[in-house]
Order: sequence, then structure tokens, then C-alpha cells
Amino acid sequence: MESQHPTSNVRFGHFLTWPLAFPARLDHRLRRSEALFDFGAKLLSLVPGRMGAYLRACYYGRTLARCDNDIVMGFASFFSHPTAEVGSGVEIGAFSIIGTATIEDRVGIGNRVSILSGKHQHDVGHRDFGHEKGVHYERVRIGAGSYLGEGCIVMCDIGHDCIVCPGSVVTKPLPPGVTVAGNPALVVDPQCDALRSRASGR
Amino acid sequence: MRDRLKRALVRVLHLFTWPLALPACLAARFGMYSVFEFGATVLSLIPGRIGQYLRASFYMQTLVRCHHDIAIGFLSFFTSPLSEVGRQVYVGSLCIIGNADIGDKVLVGSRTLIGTRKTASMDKVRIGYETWVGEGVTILADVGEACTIGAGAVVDEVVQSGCVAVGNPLRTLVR
Repeated sequence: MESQHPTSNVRFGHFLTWPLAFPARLDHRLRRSEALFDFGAKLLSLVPGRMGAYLRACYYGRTLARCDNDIVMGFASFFSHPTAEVGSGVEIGAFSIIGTATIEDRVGIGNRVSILSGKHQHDVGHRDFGHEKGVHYERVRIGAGSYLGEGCIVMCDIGHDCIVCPGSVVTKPLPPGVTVAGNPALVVDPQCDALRSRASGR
Repeated sequence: MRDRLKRALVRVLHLFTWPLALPACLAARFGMYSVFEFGATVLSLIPGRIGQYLRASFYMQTLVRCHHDIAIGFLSFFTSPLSEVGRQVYVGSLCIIGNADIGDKVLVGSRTLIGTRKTASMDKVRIGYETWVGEGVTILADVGEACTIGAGAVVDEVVQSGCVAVGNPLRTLVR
């Protein structure tokens, strides 16, 4: 798949973002601190237009555990943890917040989507202040080719080729190829068209 | 010790935020809340830990009651200076908070709306001590103490203390 961003722009983007990306990476490697990563991610989320998308792609390419350079990230969207992993051909809309997720290839994510770091982020038995000590992050996997609609909230693994309708809240893991809708999300269509045609041999 | 340090740091930041806070306070006296909203939205754009402290400093000077030990996330803001915020409140990113009274140790997830956008409305939305509010919740009614509101819920009726409330329309599960 051809990269969405021209090579010259990616090089220029790396030139502009390294003062944010390099300290963020070093800080996370040496001190296990996410403060600098968080600062860079949020600062670059405010850059508008195509330029912002290039800069965010370059920044996340250098700082996330795994991230392809061709990611397209909308205005005011950001990753909240550098342990997230992103495949190739991923597009994310505006105002989305992504936690400790593994996003596989060709996933489409709409605007105002939240991917949480699991269902039990604050489920540690005591209500302790300080969002760093009393939390528990789980990895959420979004399968290849899935589509998450506008404003949905995802806190569980999603299989490949799923469709999550706008405004849904996914609270239980989804098998591959289903379409879900509602809050909490219920299966509307158990098999997507692509899988159906593959099964019937067309 | 840590608390004192935090308070000192926030007080030092008053030096930077007073040009936004002072006009906001004066205008609010005359019922003009737009100046307050301007300051709040400008400071919501500052990323990282420094942004959190600047917002805490601004709200300490402008809100009716606001503790110094609060964390208001990136792109989150209050729309009414009549709001009250307790000790150790954590608010996530992209939240809009109208006329609300937030108790101590309340935790609010990202993309949450609390209260109405009508800044002049006198009815305050109260959120009790140690309540947890999940991601993407809309709160339009009072919530009691030690409640948990699930992600994506729309709270349009009063939630009693100690309950868990989820979904849209709201389902309340008594613990």
C-alpha cells in the first residue's frame, strides 16, 4: 500500500517534530514516564489541516511502540499512552482519544471516538486519587478492516471486519465480522457482506 | 509536603494567569460570563502538566470555590464561574462543565458534559463525594456520593448515593 504522505513531507515532519519526539521517547525508555509524550501528543493535536496530519504521523511514528508512518490522525485527536500499536492504512477522525490499544491494518475510526484502556481502568477496589497509582491498563485489540462509527466508546477487543455503528458503547468482546449498535452494543448483523461473499465462494 | 509544593506552584502561576482571571472576575460581577469563558477556553488549549496547573490557577481565582489540588484535562473547560470544585478532583480531556458543584475526590472521564450550557441558570448540578463518572457521559441531574456512572450513559434523573448507573436510557443498579 502506498503511503498517504509524500516522502519529502515525512522528512520535513520529522525535522519539525524531533524536539518533541526525542525527549518523549527518552523519558519513556529511561523513566517510564508518559508526561513528555502526553505533552507532545496534545500540542501537535492542535495543529490544523494537512500539515497537522503529517506532523502527528511523524510524531507517533517515532514515539509509539509500533506505528506506521501513513496514519492519518484528525484535529484534536491524540494517543494517551506510548504503548499503543498501530498498523498501516489507519485513519482516525477528529476529537478521538485512544488509550493502550493495538489497532491493526486498515482500521477506520470516526470522529469523537474513545478507545479506553480496558474495562477495569479504575477497578482497583479503592477510590484513590492520582490517576497514576490506582489504575490498571489492559490492551484493547481492534481487528484489521474494522470500522468504528462516530462517537462510539470501545472498551473490549474487536475482531476483524467488524462495524460499530455511531454512538455505540462496546462492553463485550466482539467476534469477527459482526455489526453492532446501541448502548450497550448489541449485535445487529452477525456477518458482514465481505465475509458472507467469501463464505459463499464468490 | 507534596500538597504544599503543589499549592505554592499554583500560587506562583497566578502571576501568569491574572490578566485572564481579573477581567473574568470583574465581568462576572456584572453578570457577563463570556469573559470567563474566554479565559477558560484559552487555557484549555495548553497541553501537559503545565496546562493542568495553569487551569487550576485560573479556576482558583475565578470560580466560587475551587481547591488547588485539581487536575482539569486538555481541552476541558468550565462555562460558568458559579461552579464549585472540591479537593482532589480529576477531570479528563474534552469535557464541558456548566453550572456544577463537584464534590471531593470525584473522577470524571473524557468527553463528558456536566450541567447545561446555560451559564445563567441557577440550578446547580451536584456530584457527590468520591463519585466516578465514565467516558462520554452526559450529566443533567444530581448524582449522589460514591456512585459509578458507566461509559456513554445519559443521566437525566437523580442517581441516589452508592448506585451504579449505566446506559441510555439510564438503568440504575443498586449496590
